[in-house]
Amino acid sequence: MKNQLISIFKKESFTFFEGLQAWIILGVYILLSMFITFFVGGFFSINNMGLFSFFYFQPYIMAFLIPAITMRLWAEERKTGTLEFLLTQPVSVTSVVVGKFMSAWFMCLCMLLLSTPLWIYLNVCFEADNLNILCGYIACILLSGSFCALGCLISSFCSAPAISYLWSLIVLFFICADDFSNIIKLFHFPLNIEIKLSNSLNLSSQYNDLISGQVSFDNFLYFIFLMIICLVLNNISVEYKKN
Amino acid sequence: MDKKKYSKLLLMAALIAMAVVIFIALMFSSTLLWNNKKADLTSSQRYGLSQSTKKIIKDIKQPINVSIYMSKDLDSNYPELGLHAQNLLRMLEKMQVLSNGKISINLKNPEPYSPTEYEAKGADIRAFPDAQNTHNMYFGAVFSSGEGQRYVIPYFSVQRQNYLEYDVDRILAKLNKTDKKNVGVISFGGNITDWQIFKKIEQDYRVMFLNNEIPFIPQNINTLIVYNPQFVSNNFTFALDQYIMRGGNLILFIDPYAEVVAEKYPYIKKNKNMLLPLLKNWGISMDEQKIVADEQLSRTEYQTALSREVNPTYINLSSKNMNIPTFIGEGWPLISFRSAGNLKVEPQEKTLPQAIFFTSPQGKLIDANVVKYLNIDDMNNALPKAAQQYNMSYWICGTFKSFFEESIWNDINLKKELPPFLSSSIKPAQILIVADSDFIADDVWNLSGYQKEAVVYDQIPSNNNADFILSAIDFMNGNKELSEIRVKYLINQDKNIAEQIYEQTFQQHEEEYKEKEQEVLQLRKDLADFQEKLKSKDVGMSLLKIQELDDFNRKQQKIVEDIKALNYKIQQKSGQALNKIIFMNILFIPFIIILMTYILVKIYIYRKKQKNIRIINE
Repeated sequence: MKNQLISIFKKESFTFFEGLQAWIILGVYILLSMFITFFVGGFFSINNMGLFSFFYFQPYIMAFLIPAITMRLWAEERKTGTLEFLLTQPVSVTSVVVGKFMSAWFMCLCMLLLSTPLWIYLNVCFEADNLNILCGYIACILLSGSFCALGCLISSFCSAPAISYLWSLIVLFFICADDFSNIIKLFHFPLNIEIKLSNSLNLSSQYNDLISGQVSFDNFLYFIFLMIICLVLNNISVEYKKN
Repeated sequence: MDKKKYSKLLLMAALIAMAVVIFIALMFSSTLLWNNKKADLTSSQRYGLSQSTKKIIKDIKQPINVSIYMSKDLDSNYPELGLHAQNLLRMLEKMQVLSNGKISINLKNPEPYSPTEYEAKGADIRAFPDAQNTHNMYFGAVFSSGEGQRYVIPYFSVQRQNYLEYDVDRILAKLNKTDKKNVGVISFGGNITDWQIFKKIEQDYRVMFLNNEIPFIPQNINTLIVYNPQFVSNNFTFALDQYIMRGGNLILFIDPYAEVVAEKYPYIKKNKNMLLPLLKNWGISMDEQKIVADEQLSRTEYQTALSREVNPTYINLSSKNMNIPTFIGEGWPLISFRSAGNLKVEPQEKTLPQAIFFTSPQGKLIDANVVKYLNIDDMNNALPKAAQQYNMSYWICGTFKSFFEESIWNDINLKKELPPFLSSSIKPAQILIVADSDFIADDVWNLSGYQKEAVVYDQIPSNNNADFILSAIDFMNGNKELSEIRVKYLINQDKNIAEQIYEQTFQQHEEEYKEKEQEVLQLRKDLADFQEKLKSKDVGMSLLKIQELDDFNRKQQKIVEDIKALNYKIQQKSGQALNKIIFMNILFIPFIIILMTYILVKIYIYRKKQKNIRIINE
């Protein structure tokens, strides 16, 4: 299982970096996030040494770029007809699902690595709030993991990469922007339950907690649960196709 | 769609729905379990409860109920308030856990025209319009104790978010205590009854404004504030002396130049501080003719090329210039002085004086008349070269000998009414002396300005002057836990990156800039002297003199142009530094990394292919 997972991960990552797609995504990511950090987030003008202007917009940037990474994972395999071939190989569905997910997540880690010079610069020239920045990076890693898992799941339902990209984009933006309060309000819970429920389901609230340095166990669990549930559903969907 | 496919699709949908339900259940329970146990991973520990808060909560004896009136759609109308509400709820939940159930939180939603809205209005919670101005919204709280005491925060202002823990802490501590002590205020600088600091003190103490001709200080005054004692009568000196002999607590604001009073009464040319002999008896002295200046700690404002106005007598102190062992002076982020005096204290036999606020070693003394009547340029010009550290505030605790040999009251009937004369202290007295009476003036510490209806929770402090005075009153009255509460800055108060870069660039040219400034000042001085000479009868106006005057103006203009050019150069340089950071982080470094990784990956792929070809060939 472990070897199978590693070989799938290697194969997927290799395919990614072999073509131009990964390099373009990396370039677009760094251009977009740094542009937003400096010109929209007010990196120079806000009094924050915790890279807040960089981390604050990451959910939207990732919601835009991660579908481009995950769209080809299953949808392209289906489109080119290699999915059947892959599923007939002596590898378990779980290792294929996890391997593909990990390769997408690895790509996101590479994306985040490109932003570390800014962290180093902040430390060299000013007094950076390193603990807060570390929290921000952990939040970004978890966020990208959850988005990758969601993207993989959506890709497994779609037959063409373009459709997968569009659906992932819609779902991820909805999760980023909506706090589910309108849906929760329909149930007429008491105010304290409503606030707790809204906080517990709201991705922005969980993510903002982490990047502002107010960390609790439930913030981590949110992203981990999201990843696990999406991967389990992804596994079921591929098993279903295999059968 | 055939039936089999349809049923499988249905199964998938059911699975997804089940996953969503499981996710909601897991998240809700984990939030209930862990959401109030947040770790504060910021370098300044912005979000954790401070030690003084923990102490106050552990000391709570009776149940406290916190009713929060918070409109449901607060965050969608005002996102900043929503975030503030989140911080408040989290903080209160932490406090609730720490109090072992003694604090109960009751969250109420005052829907428009509902009974809860009328309840909120009745509880003095302030209404404000929603973003569309269609209905009222509320965000306030009522804190009540089992004994019926009640404190209201009518509105949690975002501008006061740094004071959130401070305000709640003070209320919780007050609910735990039943007695309210008296603070007497005697002013010699006009009517100060509507000053915001007294609203702040009034929250926790009974403030009594006393006449400055009072023959004795009433026994029930636990702390006495004496503001700007000028033209003090012998009666009052005697009353103050005897108050100290009886172990009184005194906060004294004396000043070589009270700007607020000078603005109010410009016709009073010379003040006379007749309290100084009494202070000397306690070992305290202040030169009325000298004002403390500190170029290092003075406020600097960069405006236009020539308006880098540095008033060396307006001093901002950070924690570096506060005496840490004196706990009332410890931990204040910012204390401001305006033309303060220099205090000297000679320790007496039974007193323990401690300096609280002092200048940097670059402190200087400047003539009070220069500060009163001349402009900032002249003030800077008049600064002496000799520098040393000067003290602007002292804390003295101990017993003293009376300034008077016998009672000044000869009238037997009055003598009977007054407490007996004491020639020495019967109890140790506590004296806080601040050599700046502007210290507590509204425009020195409160940005919100004067509003008749404003409550203490509307104040937007620009520094911690008022907090410090309240903390001192707390300490003098034995409320140690209250005196230890400090303001916690949720928003970083330091300079932003652009300002820091500007400062770094400015430092490279500081010498040059100062030289030019000195040149301008010297030239202005020369010009003034020259004009004075021209005015005198001995020197007449001639063509040569007119040419000389022209030369002065030309030189001045040239230096002004030079300064403008230098300022422009500094701005350009700092702008370039910002652009460099943007270029390096957006384009240069990431693309170098991408390119290098791309080349490495390509080499790896090429070598792998070559290896495969070699194996196939073999």
